[in-house]
Amino acid sequence: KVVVVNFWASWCQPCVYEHPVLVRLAETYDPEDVALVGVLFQDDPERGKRFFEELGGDWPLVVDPGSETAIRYGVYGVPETFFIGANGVVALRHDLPVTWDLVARKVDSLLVARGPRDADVELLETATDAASGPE
Amino acid sequence: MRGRPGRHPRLRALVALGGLIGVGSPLAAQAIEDPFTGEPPATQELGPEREAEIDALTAEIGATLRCPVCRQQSVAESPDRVARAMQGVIRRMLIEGKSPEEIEAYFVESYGPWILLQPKAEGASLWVYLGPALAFALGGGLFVARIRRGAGARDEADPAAPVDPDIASEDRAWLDSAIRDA
Repeated sequence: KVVVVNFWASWCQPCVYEHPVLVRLAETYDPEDVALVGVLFQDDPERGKRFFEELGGDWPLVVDPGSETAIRYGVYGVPETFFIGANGVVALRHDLPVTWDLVARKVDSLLVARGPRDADVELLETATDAASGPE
Repeated sequence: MRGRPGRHPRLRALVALGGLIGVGSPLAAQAIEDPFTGEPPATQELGPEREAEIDALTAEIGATLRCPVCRQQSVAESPDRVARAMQGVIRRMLIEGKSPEEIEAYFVESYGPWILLQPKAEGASLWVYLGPALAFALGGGLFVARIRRGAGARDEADPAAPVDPDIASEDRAWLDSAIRDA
């Protein structure tokens, strides 16, 4: 599936700014297709939780002890969002608050690149077989 | 420690550290700790010798990496939390047995070649070293050429050299008349 990794913190004002876009992302796409993950950057998990209680949004959130994940990704400030295709390659690293325009275009193009889900292909084949009728 | 003459690894490590970063460096005041909780990272018991070794090596490697936030400072010097987190990562990798080259490569892969304070002389970064050398050579060459031409012009104006009689005749006439009148 397509993965969107968003680094954020409760003390980061631009993260508040981009939050509604992420909420819309989570609501628009099926988690089976697009996995959104929030990585907390140099912050108290309690404050992170409160951030989400206040602003809403419900997607997996992870803490990052020692900022190891952030460093692995080459992150040194927030917000930063990584768009990763189904092949595991990072397609885009965005160092600013994300806009809906950017998110939609990027995620859509990554979904097109991925192609249909295996389950959907099976469904399509079954439907085609059924349509062509018994041989 | 006292009972083993000539073997003071902690002192040696400290001297190496001091020599490396100079006296009065702020590094001495910074412990490596989790940037948020302020606790030292949980590592297995290393023993004081290995501990000092690791600390010295962490500082050494940290001094070659650029703090991605305060970009003019090294990771070893920078008070920024990201730099301290990077020190923690360096330390963890050293304990795992990674070499300094592997650690440097890890950071270059994560952040890019700019994370090294001293750019590697390869690829586009080669120009960081070649550029000034070439510019100096070119400028130096131009300078020398100019000097030579200047010296040549002075030779032409040398009074001991033979004078062009057509140009000199008017002057000579004037000079002669001036001497006669004097």
